[in-house]
Amino acid sequence: MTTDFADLLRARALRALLPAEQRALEELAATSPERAQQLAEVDAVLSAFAAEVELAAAVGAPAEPIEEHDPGLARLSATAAASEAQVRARLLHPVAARALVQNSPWRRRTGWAVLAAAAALALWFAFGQDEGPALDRRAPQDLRAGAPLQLVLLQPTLTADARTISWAAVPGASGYDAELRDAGDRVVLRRAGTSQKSTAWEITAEQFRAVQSRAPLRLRVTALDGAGIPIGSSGDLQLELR
Amino acid sequence: MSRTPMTTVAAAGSGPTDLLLVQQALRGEPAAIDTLLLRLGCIPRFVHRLNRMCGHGLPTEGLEDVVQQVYAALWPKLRDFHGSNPIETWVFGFCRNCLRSASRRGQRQARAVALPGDALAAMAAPGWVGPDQLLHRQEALAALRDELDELPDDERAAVEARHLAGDSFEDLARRSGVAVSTIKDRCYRAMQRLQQRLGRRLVGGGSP
Repeated sequence: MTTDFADLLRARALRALLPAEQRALEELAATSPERAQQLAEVDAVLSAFAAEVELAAAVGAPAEPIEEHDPGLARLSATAAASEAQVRARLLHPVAARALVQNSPWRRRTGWAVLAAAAALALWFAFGQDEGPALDRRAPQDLRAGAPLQLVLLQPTLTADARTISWAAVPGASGYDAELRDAGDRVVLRRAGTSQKSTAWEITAEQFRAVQSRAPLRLRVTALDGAGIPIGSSGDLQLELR
Repeated sequence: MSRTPMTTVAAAGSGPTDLLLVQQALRGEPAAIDTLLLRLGCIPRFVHRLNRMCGHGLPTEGLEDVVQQVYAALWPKLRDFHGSNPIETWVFGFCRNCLRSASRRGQRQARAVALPGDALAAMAAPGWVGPDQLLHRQEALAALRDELDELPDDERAAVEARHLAGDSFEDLARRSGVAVSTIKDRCYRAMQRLQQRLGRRLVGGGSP
């Protein structure tokens, strides 16, 4: 067992002190006001941490019955429901899930490098030549880095009498892809194309009968901008067929 | 998309189990996503309670913004969840930081540097009783958070994991990919800084 005050104080600060060492530390601290002060300061910080841990335990305690009737908490729960829907859509949508990886430092650095290269290229086009070729406006194959995906809100229900799926418009969307997939992730029916600006997908009676036989089905609506890049998604929703 | 009733308490899992849950949710498995979102249902309650217990005094409108900020901050960090603690413990940190930021923005005024003389006694008192003790403890905890914010990232991570999450040095070293002695050094350097900045103020009863 060490009897050096500095070593014991370090062990105390790391919460790695044995009971016998604790007694030795206190005895050494009692020999000098300076040491006593140092020990008191370390203990004060440890007490602050302990209070924070106690706060976390109090906050994390199970819900109390009185909270059920708290209108403020009810409002917060409603707000959380909307945020939950967005997280659900992002987790269910494979494209959005890939976007998670883009938050890694390597991806961020790569993103900045690509941006710098693009800026240099743009300057070269602007000033580096008298007459250059037109920019290639082909749409990229993936989401833009860091672009937040908006939620496409809809009711995933189809009946024989009401065979239209409609959704809320997404700001900035130039068109919407919509598709139905079966349990094996095969596309059963698709409405595609950036020219499809309508926020409703009408399914014919013949199509309805055809898709009914392939249930259970998942519906996904993707909002696209003018370049065909996804800017919003409903996520994969279980389609209710009645 | 149905909302879980706020009285429902999802069974808290252990850290490793929760890590598996998060990994499955990130793979898009619907059942795991449902369970994860059920567990994240603690966020409004945490924010509501923290606002009350820490005396932030934000109105409900402000708390609604905080709840949204917690979800927004937490979502991109899901891949960083390492499972050494249950999800709720991890979520608590997000709630705490987002609420604190919102409170600061709302107040737009400098926090008093001096701590009350009985802040240390208030921290040592058992339970959350007495308005004066509560106030002093709130101030001490706010000061702790302020000082933690000033630490270098690696030191803050080490000292928080050790003293708030209760992680072992071995676990921390394994997760960080460094030697145990390195983690201990980081933790001790952080404690030295905290001792000089915070411990001195607490023991001195307000004299910075």
